[in-house]
Amino acid sequence: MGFESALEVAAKVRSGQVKAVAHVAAAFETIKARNPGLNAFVSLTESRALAEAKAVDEQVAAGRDPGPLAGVPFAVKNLFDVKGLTTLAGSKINRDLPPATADSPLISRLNAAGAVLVGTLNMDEYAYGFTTENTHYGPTRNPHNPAHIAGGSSGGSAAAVAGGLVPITLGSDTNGSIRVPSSLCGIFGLKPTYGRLSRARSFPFVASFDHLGPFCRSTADLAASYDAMQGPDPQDPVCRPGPAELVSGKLGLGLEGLRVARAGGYFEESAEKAVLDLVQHASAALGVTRTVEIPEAGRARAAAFVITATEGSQLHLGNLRKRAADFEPLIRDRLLANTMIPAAWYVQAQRFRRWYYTEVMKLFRDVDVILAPATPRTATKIGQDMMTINGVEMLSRPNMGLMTQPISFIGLPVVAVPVGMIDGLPVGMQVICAPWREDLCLRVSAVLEKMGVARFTPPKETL
Amino acid sequence: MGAELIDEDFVRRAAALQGIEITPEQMPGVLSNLQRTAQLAALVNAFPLDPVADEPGPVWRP
Repeated sequence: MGFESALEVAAKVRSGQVKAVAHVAAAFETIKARNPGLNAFVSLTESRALAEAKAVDEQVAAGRDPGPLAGVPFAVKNLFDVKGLTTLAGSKINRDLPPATADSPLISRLNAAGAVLVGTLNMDEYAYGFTTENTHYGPTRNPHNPAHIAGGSSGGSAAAVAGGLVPITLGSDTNGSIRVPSSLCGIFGLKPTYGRLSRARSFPFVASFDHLGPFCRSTADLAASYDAMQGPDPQDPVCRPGPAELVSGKLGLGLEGLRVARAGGYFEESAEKAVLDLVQHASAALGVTRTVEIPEAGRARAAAFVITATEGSQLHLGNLRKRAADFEPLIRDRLLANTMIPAAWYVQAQRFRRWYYTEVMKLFRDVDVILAPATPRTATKIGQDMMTINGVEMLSRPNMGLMTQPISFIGLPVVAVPVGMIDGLPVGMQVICAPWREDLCLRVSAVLEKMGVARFTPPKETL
Repeated sequence: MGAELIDEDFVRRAAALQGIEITPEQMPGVLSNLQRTAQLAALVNAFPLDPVADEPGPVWRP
């Protein structure tokens, strides 16, 4: 138990070989055994899960289709609304809010596909961080080395998958919060195009950049969960209208017709050499010889920082006035400082965003896929304030998103794929495509996985 | 505005405009964070853009 894929579990449940109730009960045993060492879960939804699993078994027994993810346990970052639970978003302040009256539509859609919700997961408070060192709920630990961070802000989501607690989790990504923890825990994560998956009934952070997406241990599971969650939702004003564009059937199409390049310039200057070597190795396996420079990526990261700071602090202005002392100590002073940003800085950053988007779209006339590191290095230690990248000492917490921020800034779809280990800790690569081309990101991820270049490596302690 | 113009007096007044009081314990962290954001904003502000032609889209659809 632990590292079976979601699709393997679903196949056994669908065929009647395994009862969903038995599988889910066993999943809770695994979670209860492993979670104390990781601190990935904040709450378990045991009675609800067993009822959902029972319904799946009844469908199988009645000869009805229980869905493509029948009996598969999944968990969500605790910024998703779960009916009957208070949406904490990693905070102490939200404990004062009433319980959610309905599930997030992404949870409902996974339930409709037969998946079973088993709990909620730890995160940086209000998603403002890359480390999941949460003072209120404790730090989430990296399954590959518990002295190190799992990444953030969806750290619980990544640790739960990498630690073999569940095969699918959901998280959010505003500046890298799916891709950073995927990289640092060595799993696959999808940040879809901005507007692809409904964000309704999730606690927001930065309206301009907020995305939701899945974490898994394989490309096929990622595609299956993504397909189950797609579709329009009038409850989210940025969610794309029109039908789902399913990708699971396209994973085997390979590299045929795809022009793939590696990101140079900023992305080579801002990452450690050992990370670049792994990206180079993965690129070479794909036959990539070309390098492209994403123009003004460093400035894009700076503009994303300013927009995040401004929108993120405005969201919490009321509580910053009334009860600043109740915020996470690691972000409180940043949020307070962010309330004083002049409007002109914010508007210039949004104008720059339009310019940058137009320039990056020109690149996609000549390439279909761009490869770049997902993080500048492997996981730092819990409590580590400073890190060194290419000889430059910098604050570790705000800078783990150096590689991811210039991409989510304009909403491009990305799959983070695990491309190797450095001193026992994993690191990932971003597979970046043009808007709405998640299918291409996932195709390249599938090719790399088939080659054995990208793969999930179970943590040593769990073997 | 540059990071060097941001001092405790500025922070106190700007916070008061937002109805926020900065405690002595919070002041060093607030100051260093706002100065860091100012440095990054300076990089963005230095980029030449036309306020008419480069208007941000009212709805962002990649």
